[in-house]
Amino acid sequence: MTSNMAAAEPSLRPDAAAGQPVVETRNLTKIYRDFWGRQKVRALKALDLKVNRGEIFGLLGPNGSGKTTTIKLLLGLLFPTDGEAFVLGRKASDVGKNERIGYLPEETYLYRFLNAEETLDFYGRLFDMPAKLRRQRAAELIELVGLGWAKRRQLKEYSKGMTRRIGVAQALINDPELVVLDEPTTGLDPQGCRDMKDLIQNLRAAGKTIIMCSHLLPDVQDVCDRIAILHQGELKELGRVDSLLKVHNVTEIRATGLSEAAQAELRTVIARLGGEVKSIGHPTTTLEDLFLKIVRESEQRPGRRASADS
Amino acid sequence: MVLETEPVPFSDFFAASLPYWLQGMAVLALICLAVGFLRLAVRYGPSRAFWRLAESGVGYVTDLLRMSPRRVLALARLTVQESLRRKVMVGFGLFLLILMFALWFLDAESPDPAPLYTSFVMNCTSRLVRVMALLLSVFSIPGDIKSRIIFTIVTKPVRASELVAGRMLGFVGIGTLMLVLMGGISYLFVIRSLDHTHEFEPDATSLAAESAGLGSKVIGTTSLARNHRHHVVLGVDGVLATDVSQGHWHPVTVEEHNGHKRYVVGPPQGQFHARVPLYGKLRFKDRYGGDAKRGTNVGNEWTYRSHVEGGTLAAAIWHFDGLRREAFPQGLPMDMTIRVFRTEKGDIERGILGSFVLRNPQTGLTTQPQDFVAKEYVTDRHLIPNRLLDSTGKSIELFGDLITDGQLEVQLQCLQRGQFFGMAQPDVYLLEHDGSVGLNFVKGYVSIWLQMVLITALGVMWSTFLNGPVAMLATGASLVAGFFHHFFESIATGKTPGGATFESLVRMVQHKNTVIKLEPGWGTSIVNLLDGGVRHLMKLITQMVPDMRALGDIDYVVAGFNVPDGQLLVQAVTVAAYVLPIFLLGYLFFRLREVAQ
Amino acid sequence: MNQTAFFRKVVYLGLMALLLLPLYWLSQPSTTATAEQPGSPGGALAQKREEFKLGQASLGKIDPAGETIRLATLGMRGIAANILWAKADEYKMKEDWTNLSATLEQIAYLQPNYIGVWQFQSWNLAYNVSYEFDDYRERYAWVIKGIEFLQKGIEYNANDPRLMSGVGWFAAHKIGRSDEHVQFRRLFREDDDFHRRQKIQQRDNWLFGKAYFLEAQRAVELGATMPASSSPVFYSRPAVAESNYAEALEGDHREALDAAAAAVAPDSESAEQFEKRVADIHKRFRLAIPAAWENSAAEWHKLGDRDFPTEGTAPYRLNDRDVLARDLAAAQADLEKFSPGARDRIREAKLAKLPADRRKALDIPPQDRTPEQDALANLAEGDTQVSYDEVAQQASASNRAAAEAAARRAAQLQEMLNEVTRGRENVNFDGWLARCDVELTDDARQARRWLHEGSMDFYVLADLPAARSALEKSFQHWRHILDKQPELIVDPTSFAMLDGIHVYEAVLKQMDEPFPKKFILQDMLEAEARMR
Repeated sequence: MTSNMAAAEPSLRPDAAAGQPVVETRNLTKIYRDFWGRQKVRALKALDLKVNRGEIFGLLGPNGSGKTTTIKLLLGLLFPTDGEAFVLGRKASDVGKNERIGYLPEETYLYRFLNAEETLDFYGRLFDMPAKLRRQRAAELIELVGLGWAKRRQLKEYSKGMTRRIGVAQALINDPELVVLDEPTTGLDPQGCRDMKDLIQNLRAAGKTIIMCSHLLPDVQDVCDRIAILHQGELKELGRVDSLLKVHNVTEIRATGLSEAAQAELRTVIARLGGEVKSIGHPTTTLEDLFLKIVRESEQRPGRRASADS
Repeated sequence: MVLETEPVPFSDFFAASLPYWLQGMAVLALICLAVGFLRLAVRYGPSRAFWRLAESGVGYVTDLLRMSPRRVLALARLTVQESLRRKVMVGFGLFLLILMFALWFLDAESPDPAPLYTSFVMNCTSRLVRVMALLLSVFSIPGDIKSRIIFTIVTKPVRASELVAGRMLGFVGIGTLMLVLMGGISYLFVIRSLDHTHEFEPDATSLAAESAGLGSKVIGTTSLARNHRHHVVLGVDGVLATDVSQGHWHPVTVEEHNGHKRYVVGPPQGQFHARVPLYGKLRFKDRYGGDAKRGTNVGNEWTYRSHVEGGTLAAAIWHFDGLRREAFPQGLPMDMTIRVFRTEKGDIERGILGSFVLRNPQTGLTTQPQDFVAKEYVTDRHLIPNRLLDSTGKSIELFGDLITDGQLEVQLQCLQRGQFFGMAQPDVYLLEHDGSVGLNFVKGYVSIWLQMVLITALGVMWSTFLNGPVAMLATGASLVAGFFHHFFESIATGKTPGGATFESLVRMVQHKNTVIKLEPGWGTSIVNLLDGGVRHLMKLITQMVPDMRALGDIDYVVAGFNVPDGQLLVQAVTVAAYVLPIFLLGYLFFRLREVAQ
Repeated sequence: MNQTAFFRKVVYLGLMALLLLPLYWLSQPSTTATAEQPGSPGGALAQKREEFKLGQASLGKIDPAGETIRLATLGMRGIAANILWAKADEYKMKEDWTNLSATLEQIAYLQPNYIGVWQFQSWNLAYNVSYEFDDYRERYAWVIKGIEFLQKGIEYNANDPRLMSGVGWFAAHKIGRSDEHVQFRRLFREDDDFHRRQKIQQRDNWLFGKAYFLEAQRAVELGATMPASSSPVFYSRPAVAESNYAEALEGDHREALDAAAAAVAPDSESAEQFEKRVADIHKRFRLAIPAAWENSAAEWHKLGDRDFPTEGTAPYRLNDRDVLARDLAAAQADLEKFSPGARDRIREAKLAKLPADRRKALDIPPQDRTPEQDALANLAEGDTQVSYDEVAQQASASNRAAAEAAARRAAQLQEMLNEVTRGRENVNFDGWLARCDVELTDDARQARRWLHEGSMDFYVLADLPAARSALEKSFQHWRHILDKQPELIVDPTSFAMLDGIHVYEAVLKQMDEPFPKKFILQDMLEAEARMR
């Protein structure tokens, strides 16, 4: 029997204090096979990842790059062909880890014949929460996602945005330590996207760890602390968003109050030093540029690029 | 009623089946372990496979032990809600529809309509419930997987065991609900449709007969209702009642109205029974008076009954045990159903004469023979009084003289030379009492419920790893094997004429009937070889699949016999014995399944 | 890859369309002609349906229950019927009659146009199941169930002579010829449920059966296939039923008298009233019995005049026997004229060539032969047959052609005569006709009358001398008849007179007189003993 207290107060878990990574994968590999056992797709190749407590970790990649596979492996929806994945200090296949995880799937899959309250109540029961707590959490979450006005309507009457919100609510029913979001902003209007991003930031502020995958690069750039870029099942890039986006062999100088002479001097200094001034300053590239570059390079030279956590 | 196999007391059943069941479970576990080991060994090599197997084995068991009732109930609740919102009540509506039109097809002129009606509603209910259990149970898990709702469920701390158990429980719940509703409505339907009354207005002569008060006599006939009439009989004790027609009778009361007598015929009585019989052990004497296990075979294909020859020393002897004075204060009501086999025409207008004597098996004290005319296909009741005469004409007590240690023998003989009486053990019994009809009805429904539980469990089990339609076929096939258990068994044991699958195929193609021998040759050898394989398969199936017919008690209720309590327990334990491994398999399959695949 | 998938889909579509073609050919519905357009006979199925008269609509009735059951099997009704058939067999074996009849009903609903099912299972009910019961009333009920099952079959298969003959046969022969025929006939008469509004006087199983036999004949004349029996047998059934009816009436007469006697209540009825009742019974039967025999004779004559088709030759009639025999004799005489004595010569020659054992067998008188000898003798007969053509070949060259013509004619006549003789033997034509003639003679009437008087005297009035003299008078008349037609003695069991002799025995026994050594009908008694 699992303790109800654990769901309510996850921070008391012993492993939380140990400072070990929230998610760790070692050589995680997934090969899809067909009915006859013939190899069909290598969806994920020897992934090594660590996600630390309290960060927002983004998984990036084009369609079919292995993001969703990774998430499903972490959640135990798929079994790894090789390697291991640990979540919150437990094996990914251990159901017990789910006590402290919240998951929002790519599309919100919920029973359409239940209404919002019943849905949250049902998921609350799955966490073995007592009735009083269930009611309280459900009320809070419905308030949080702003569906108070529609809580008695069956989900089949909900719009896509509303369904998404109730999906978020069900993911947070257990006040999870780790929140896994699969494409959290798809299908949302700009305001919805904004709200979602705010929510993610707030969750981090509350000390939760978040893993999200997306192909919407601006979202990732806005909220993620660290990202991993996957392509064709291989990890291509891994690091802090700010450092990844910094172009180190380019210096951008922006200054005001420099005279023409001063500028000319600077140029000569640079010329003497073998540089060529195009414009002065340290530009940051956009995530989109980086992403496209990696994809391009990856297609030219398949193979792993990033490995250890940097 | 016909009981081809003697009901087994629970303790005997349990003692006999438990080792068998444990063996089966052990084999099943071994097979699972072996398959698991092989799969792992292919991937990791034997030594690592062993440890991995041990590790996951422990994990599987601890998972089972950690099942949370609240989660199971949450899933069960969800299942009920889901079924209700998926218009499961359509099935119920169908049932009502069938009942509405049933009166067109039920024979209103039947000589005994109560069993007909009971049989109809109970069979209808059980068939409908079976189909519903099948259809509901196989589509839920595959539906969840297809719609990916399963993603949000299994990422909660829900164990595969809880999910499977919750689904099974939920479907059993909805099935129970339906069954209760259908049972209630069926009961009302039967009672209401058979309820009727007659008018009775005696004429002058019958009134004269009544006032004359000359013992039991018919004083008139009632009006026609439900295609029958009754005679109104004035009993010796002065009580008015009708005679029995269409399996029931009515009380008749007289109301004085301004000095005017009015006769009121009451509601039908005695339509339903729940007889609690006390069966004896049957043995025979042959025509020279020697002991025999069975009587004469008169050439019937069905060897259920055997015969005693008339006018010889041949006799059928029932040995009853456990007779208590308190259970039979009014004497022993003995019910008898005898078949007659004539070797010569004899007197067509008259039945065959027989007689029985009662005997104390310990002291050998016998009563004077009592003669009777054999009546076929009806229950002929003889009341054995508390005081009776022994063979020398001396008056004796039933309990005390004739019955000591609760034992009594009934010896039955046919008196006419060249004629035979046919009987089986359950054809003569002592009626302990008439049990509660309502309770018996409920017992019948419990047996339907047990079948439903088993079907649901099977359906959920198959659906843990097959998609909906395929799971439905698999469950359907399991049921076919269950309901045709005897047939499968007879194929497995080679008792079916014309061989198994391939031999009968050859016979059909070659237009050979079942008694012609196939010419020996390589073709026949191949056919026999293939059929041998089929027989092994059938044997395997019969050992794995429950005999669904043995789980039904409708026949008892219809025939008006109390469903033996032990029998219901036997059936319940049988179902539990199947449901447990079915659940475990379901759990295993589901746990092994990658739901996101 | 996409292209192959697309291609595959196209192929599937094409195949589907291809399959639709035969479907169209098979199941196009028929239309009736209207003013605008001519009607079409429809697809192959519609035409077959019309041909075999299987359309439900064509029967003028719709059968929702059956239709529902057929739909519910989802096109697997053949399998369903098979399973039910196996179940029915099991129910029969296990003596579960209620379920048996319910299952038969379901099979019938499933495949109502399968004549074999109706025939087989109705026989099952009326004969096999009926026999399982010890109480004759139950037995009767099951015979009626069989009849009603067939009648239901007729509803689905209008004009099927096999089913109609079946009803006729069960009603006439099962009820009228069983061991229990006395009881069965009585129950049949009293069966209000079966006959509904029909008057009690018309409820006779033989007449009921005859009506169905006639119905079956009508159906055959309208083009239905005849049931598998030779045509004279098929067409003789109404006549046989009528004759049996007449015969049964004698039994009824006796039974009515017995019943009247049994109903005598000593004080409530005067002797006068009783006499009157008996007289009424006598009157009724003394009119009815000759009338029935007359009807019966008429039926037999009608049968005699019916044309029976043959293969090749002209149709024949049973009444033609004498004419054919005369013509054949004439043709033979013609032939004899052309080659006198040739027949005997040829036969002698053939006899001479016979192997010794056959010859020997032939010389043994037929009644003394062992079965082996009989077989040999038959072979010998075959070997020594002399055909007309062989005789014609012996004629002189000038007469050869004429002789051959005569031989051909004789052979043809011979063949027809054989056919007619066979037909008459098959239906006991001569026997029944003789019987009709006898029963209509004055002697027969008188014999019957005195027989009844004698029985009454004995059983009711207990007047032994009167009974004796009445019976003896009856025997006198009967002796007359037998002297005129001695062939009647061959099978005396169907004659009421036998009962008279048994009554006579009882009378003499009570009078303490021995049965006469030289009894007037001694030959009849001997024949009876032979028959039993």
